[in-house]
Amino acid sequence: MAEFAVEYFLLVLISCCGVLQFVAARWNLSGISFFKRTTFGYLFAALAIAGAFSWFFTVENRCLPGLEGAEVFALFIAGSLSSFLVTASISAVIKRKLHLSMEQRNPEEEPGLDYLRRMTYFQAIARHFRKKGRG
Amino acid sequence: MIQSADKTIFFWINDLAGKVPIIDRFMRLMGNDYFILVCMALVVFALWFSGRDPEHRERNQRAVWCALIGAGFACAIVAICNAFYDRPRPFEMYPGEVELLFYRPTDPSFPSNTAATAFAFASGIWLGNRKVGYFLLLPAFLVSFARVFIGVHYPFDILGAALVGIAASLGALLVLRIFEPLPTWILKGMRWLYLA
Repeated sequence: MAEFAVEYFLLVLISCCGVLQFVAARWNLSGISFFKRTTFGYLFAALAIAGAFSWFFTVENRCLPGLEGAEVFALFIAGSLSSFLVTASISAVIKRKLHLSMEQRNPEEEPGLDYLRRMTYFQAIARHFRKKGRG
Repeated sequence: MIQSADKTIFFWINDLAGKVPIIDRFMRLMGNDYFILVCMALVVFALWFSGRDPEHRERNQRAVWCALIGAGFACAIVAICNAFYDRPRPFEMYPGEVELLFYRPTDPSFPSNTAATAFAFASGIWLGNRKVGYFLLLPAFLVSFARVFIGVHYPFDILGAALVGIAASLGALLVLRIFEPLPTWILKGMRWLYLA
């Protein structure tokens, strides 16, 4: 059962990474994208999702009693949050030069996902805490 | 009368099983406990990050709340129904007559937990985003049909599950409205962490 849980977690993790590349390409969230060109983002998404599903449903017979509903839900939440962390970390390394210039900064702008169009996740978090530190 | 209609429709659908191996394999995949539900959950996950502007995205995120809470309510209602009404599975009622393409679930047949969760997802999203909600109805119907095809549910288990799912997401919407401004605060907190 533990092996099944790990495999299910990996299915969610990999396919959620694919979904994140899809939304990054679709909504221009450069800060969590691995690629400059949106075409590559869509291609990565298709390959990650199709690959994860093909692997999970062909490696073993899945028409067997498995996890309880609560376990499935908890593993999905853990997998999706991990995929966001993995995506944010990889894109932070790839897009480390992506940042707001001083002219573009608007101190009144509300925080949120829109910032990820112009900076990486960790740059956004760092900026937020710097701003709070200044009071 | 209802039971007889249920049995008749069940055998109309289940008699299609075991004839074309590729269709059997497809239906086994669609009726699987994970395939459709994970696909639907991925669409819900994508919706959280989607929107042309913050207002549009917030509407989508509220729909995601509604779908998740609705799915939780649906599972709870199914568990309560199971505690009071233990309907045997079709393969237990008609041994030797049912073409069973799946393992033998041990929980009660009515209502279908998988279908209830799928309909809770679809209707929860529909309440906030009609286009994606209609799109999600397709896999919800597909998993429902597949569960009858593979011989683990009666059509009325599915009908009951659809009603449970829809009622659960309406209940979730009501709860979100009652607890306002808590959902707004949580969304704002997540926005401060750049997660919403």
